[in-house]
Amino acid sequence: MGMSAALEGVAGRQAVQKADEQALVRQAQTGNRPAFEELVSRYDRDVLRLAYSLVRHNEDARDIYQEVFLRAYRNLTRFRFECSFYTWIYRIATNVCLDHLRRKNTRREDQAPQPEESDGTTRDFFDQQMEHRPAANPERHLLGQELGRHIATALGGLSPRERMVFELKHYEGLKLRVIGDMLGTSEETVKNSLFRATRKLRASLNGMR
Amino acid sequence: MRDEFKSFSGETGCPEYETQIMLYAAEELEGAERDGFEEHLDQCAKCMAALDAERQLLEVISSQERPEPAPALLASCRNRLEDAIDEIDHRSLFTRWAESIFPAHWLVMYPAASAALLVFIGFSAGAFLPGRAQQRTPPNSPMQQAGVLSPMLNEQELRTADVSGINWTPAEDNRPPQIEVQLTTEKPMTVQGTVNDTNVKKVLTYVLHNNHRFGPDVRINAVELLKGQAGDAQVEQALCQAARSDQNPAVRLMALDALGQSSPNAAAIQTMINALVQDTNPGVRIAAMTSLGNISSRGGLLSDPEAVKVLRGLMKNDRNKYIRLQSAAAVLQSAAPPQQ
Repeated sequence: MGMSAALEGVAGRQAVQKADEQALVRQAQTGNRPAFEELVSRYDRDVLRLAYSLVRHNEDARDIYQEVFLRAYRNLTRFRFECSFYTWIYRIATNVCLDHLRRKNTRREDQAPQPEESDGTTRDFFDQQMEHRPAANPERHLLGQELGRHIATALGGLSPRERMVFELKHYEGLKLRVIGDMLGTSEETVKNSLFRATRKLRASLNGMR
Repeated sequence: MRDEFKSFSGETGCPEYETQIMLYAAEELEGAERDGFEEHLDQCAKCMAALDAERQLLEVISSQERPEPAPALLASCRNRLEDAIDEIDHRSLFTRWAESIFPAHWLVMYPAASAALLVFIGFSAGAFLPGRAQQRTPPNSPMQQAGVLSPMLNEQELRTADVSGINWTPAEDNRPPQIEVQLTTEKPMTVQGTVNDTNVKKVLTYVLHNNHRFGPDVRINAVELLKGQAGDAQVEQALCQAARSDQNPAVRLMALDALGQSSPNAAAIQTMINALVQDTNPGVRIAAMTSLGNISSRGGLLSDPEAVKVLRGLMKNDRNKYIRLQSAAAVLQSAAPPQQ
């Protein structure tokens, strides 16, 4: 009884959230800027995290973020409520990320790694000067980081689509059906991409033994 | 680490079940297909081993910390997006206006007249609206809304806020500049006032105390704005913290420079001495030395025999000639009456 009441409560909240979101989208479609900005603030963290984990570069992640939400702003009137706004935004985000990864694969100069702190922040010019103070030079090369580097290299060896599918499945925790919906392709194609990605990763990591 | 790889390498199941193993490990196998595969697993040790290896592989990969964007990045993305949308909105208004008085087909029909008219409009706009284009958008959109914070800005609000930008306008007659600090919280906020304003001071000193959370540009601006207030105990403490712990040498250098402009207390002098002895950045050490020299020339080291003792050591042994000379000068000044 308690459980069913709780489930009803969750379902009720979800319904309210959905209705609330639809109302926001409709307002945004009439040109209401605050409504659009409210929608942005609901999803922009997720979009930025996805972009950053794929490109691992502040400036590129910023460009992707900008492109995603500008596309959404320009095309908002074309949103027909056939899927959730979340799926629609993620669909745009995955497309922009894929375009970016494909372009990047063809431009070698872009592949120079950006010096970054372990917390993900970019180091500026002054930060890059040599420092030997104990407080400013923490143990950055922990043993586990070697494995992390191998995995990052292995992930870098995947095709943009395989990388995207693997990321959405194993880091974002999405179902393959949803991923297919976002990428505008069938679940079967997504399964194949995931299969290829996993096989490549295994081979790549075995090669590093 | 090699063991991590061993655990999922070399294990292959039956070739016809390869896809099912991957899907089962990813929890994507459902219904009859799942039941059938589980039946097979019960009888096939090879596929069971391959499934274990697959799971280990996913576990190792997902156990790796996922790179997270810095909080300041989100704030800067939001600001840039807002500017871009402002531009789109502004452009679309102008386009509608232009089309209403100057239909596109007119250009095709009268190209020479159109060109002349466009040149005329361009010159007119350039002559009469030079300053308009540089004006900032008024803070009336929700991303900038919220205006000035009330005096109740508390520690909790600061803990969850990012500083996305610090702007200031210099004031005339040596009055402190008007400062605008943009905070990104759940709803972006702006704190306005001079450096004497409680909220502004609170935010700027918070930035220096928690320097690991904010970008170098924000920290540098905070020091720059606070340097005129180094005599204030709260500000002095924040500057000491920046000089001791900021990872950016430019921030440490500026903080030490600011401390040298006031009459610092013993803790601040100790901070300078520590920087002089321990900091590995030559520029920062020189800033510490210069500040100590300034303080010494005002008689500020007379009551600090420990500091003078350190300076004596440095004037003999420091590898940097400038430090040796300046230490000697400071030691001499500390023994002489202060300059008027």
